[in-house]
Amino acid sequence: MSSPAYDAKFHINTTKTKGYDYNITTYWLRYQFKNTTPHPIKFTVAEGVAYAWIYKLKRNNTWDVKKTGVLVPYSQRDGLKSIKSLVFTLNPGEVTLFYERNIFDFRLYKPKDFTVSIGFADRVIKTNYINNEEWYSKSILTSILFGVLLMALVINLLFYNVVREKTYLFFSSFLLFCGLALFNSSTDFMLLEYPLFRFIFTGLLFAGTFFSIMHFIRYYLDTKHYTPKWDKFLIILSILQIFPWFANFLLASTLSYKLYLIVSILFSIITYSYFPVILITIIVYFWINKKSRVAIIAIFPSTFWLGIVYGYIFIVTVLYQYYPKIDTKLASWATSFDASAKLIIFLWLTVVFSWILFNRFQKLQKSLVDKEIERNQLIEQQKVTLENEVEARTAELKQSLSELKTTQQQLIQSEKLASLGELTAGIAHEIQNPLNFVNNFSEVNKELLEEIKLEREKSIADRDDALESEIIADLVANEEKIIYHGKRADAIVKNMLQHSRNNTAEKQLTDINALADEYFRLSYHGLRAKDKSFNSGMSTDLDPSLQMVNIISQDVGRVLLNLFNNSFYAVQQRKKKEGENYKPEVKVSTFADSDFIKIKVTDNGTGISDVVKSKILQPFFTTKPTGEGTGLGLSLSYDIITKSHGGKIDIDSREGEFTEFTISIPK
Amino acid sequence: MKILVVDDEADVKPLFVQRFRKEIKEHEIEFSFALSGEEALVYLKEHQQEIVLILSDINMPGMSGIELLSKIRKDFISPPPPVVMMITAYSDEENKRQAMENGANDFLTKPLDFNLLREKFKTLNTNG
Repeated sequence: MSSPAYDAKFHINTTKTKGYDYNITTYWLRYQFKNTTPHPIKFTVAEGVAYAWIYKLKRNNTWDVKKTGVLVPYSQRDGLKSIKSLVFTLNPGEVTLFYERNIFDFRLYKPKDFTVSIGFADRVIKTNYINNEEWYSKSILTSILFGVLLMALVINLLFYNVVREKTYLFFSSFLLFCGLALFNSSTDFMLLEYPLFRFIFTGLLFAGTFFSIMHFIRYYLDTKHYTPKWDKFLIILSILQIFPWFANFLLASTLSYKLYLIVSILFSIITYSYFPVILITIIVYFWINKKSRVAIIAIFPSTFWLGIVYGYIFIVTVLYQYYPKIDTKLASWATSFDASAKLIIFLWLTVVFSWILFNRFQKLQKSLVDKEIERNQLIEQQKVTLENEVEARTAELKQSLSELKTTQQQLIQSEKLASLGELTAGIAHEIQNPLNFVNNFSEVNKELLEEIKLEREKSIADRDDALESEIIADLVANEEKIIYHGKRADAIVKNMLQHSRNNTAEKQLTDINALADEYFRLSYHGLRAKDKSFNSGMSTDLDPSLQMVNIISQDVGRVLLNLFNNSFYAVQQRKKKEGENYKPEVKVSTFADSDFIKIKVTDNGTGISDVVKSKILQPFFTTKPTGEGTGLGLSLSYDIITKSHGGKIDIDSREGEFTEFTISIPK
Repeated sequence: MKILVVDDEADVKPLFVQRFRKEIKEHEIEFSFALSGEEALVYLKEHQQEIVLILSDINMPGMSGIELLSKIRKDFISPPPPVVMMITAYSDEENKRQAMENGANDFLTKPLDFNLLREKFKTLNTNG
């Protein structure tokens, strides 16, 4: 100790077995070299610890400090960087004291003994740099292999994108991890400035490689289907193998050396049994799943190399520590051949597997084409079936349609009969009036004729010629009235017949004013006959200049009747509600614009709400109590006006105030 | 005797004129005609004193015969009140009851029996 102040900070290593106390990470070594030769000597000190500093006392009593170590970034290392060796020179006869400070990271590894590796710099450089042709070939071979694997990775990923089979996904990830792992461990290109991360990353790559190849094989051989229990074991193994790669980081610093050794052996068993397990699996599956034989041939060499050869090298290496006499020739040959072997086996795996892949792709395409053809046939078949079904359904629909048409006809007929019933009383009244006139005027005429007869019986001198002439004039006028009222009755009867007739009559030139007036009266008297208390103001505003129009008069008459009936019903309902102060009024007016002859029916009745207005033209919709209306009146009216006559019906109404229906018939 | 006939049928006028041509000629009866209840009321306002008898149809658009009757009985009560005879094509009890309740003097049904009507006029004429 150069100063007692530092006494407390240093103490002598008292560990019995000359080993390390894993709770202490910093150790100091002191050694002294003396050059007894007549030449200056350059020597190296190799370091395997995390951080190492060597202090050399110079002649002028200053310290020459050099630094290297596993966790020291490449650029900060002194001496021979890649082999982590520091270089010192001793002149002839020089005696120099060295202090070495080692800082350990026991997460990386746990050394058993203290060792100081000293080498002659010339030899070390010769071995590791000048004569290290293997390093170059290794780098080149690994880089080529990496390239090939990356290419295969791209192909596999593309293929996975098409077929979506997990086999290809895991094979892709295997290629990625394996390629990076080989490239990383065999070259000094990657992550040189981040040594600690490189340790973790390396573990990750190996774990990923192991994991991927297992699942690639599982999916390829379909072990889940053939040997489910073994499949489960493989899954567990593929997960367990992840731990050894990170074991030191997870456990090492907290375990004693003995426990650490046990765990290490356990982890080694897992790691080194991994590929033999895969090897056994594919050998067995060579007989179980014959479809995968080619793939097994593709995988076999790599599995064999990684499983058996690596295992052998490992065992020999371990045994060599205890039995140095053991023959290591085969193991060292395998180790030296490793880079070339890896290149061959992985190339083999990639090429053969890609070839399998190509074949599968072709087959798949062919099956896709077959499927397409099959699908087309199926579609063709379905088309035929569908067409048959459509035909059958159409026939059914036609049947229903004709039934509906029949029903519709029946309904129309019954609606006609219903309105005929409503009409009967009105008609009776309407016929009664002209008949009365016919009868009365006939009787009057008879009287008049008798008068003339009496007059004739008189002598010529007594005869009153003026009277005779007057009587004759009256006779003629009366006859005209008889004829007029006779015709009126006749027309009413004819209309009634037409109204009840089922077949559609032809269109004929009709006087809209006469038609509107006639049905206005029929409606009024019909309702009047039914309900004595019923009464309503009636007014007409008929444009006398209206031209005749071509219509099916009884159909339009029925529409008018319907509208009049509705209007009278509406005013009657309002009268019931509001009583004496309310003056019911129904008005019909006719007029024409440039294109249409219009008939407007207005009443000051209950009006129509908007809700009802939207449904009013629907068949079977009625606001009348059950039994009073069929609900077909307006829908039939709508059909008659729009379909048969190409016209339209407009509704304007305010609830509680008025309703106005306008029929427009093209000129 | 002046008679007002209320009927929406215009041809009622020539019919009555001809049926009662003798009576008209001999100035026994004089007819006035109205085509609606409203028209009749307007006419009555001016000629109330002259009209002895009113013959009215019940079924008319607008003011019905019954309404006209009740109005006459309400508004034209100054003596002597006119005799009102109601005429209808619907000879049912309901119509007749309403007419009588509203103060009709008689109830006739269509087709009119003019001989019977003539008798009624004569009775009225001699009584009045």
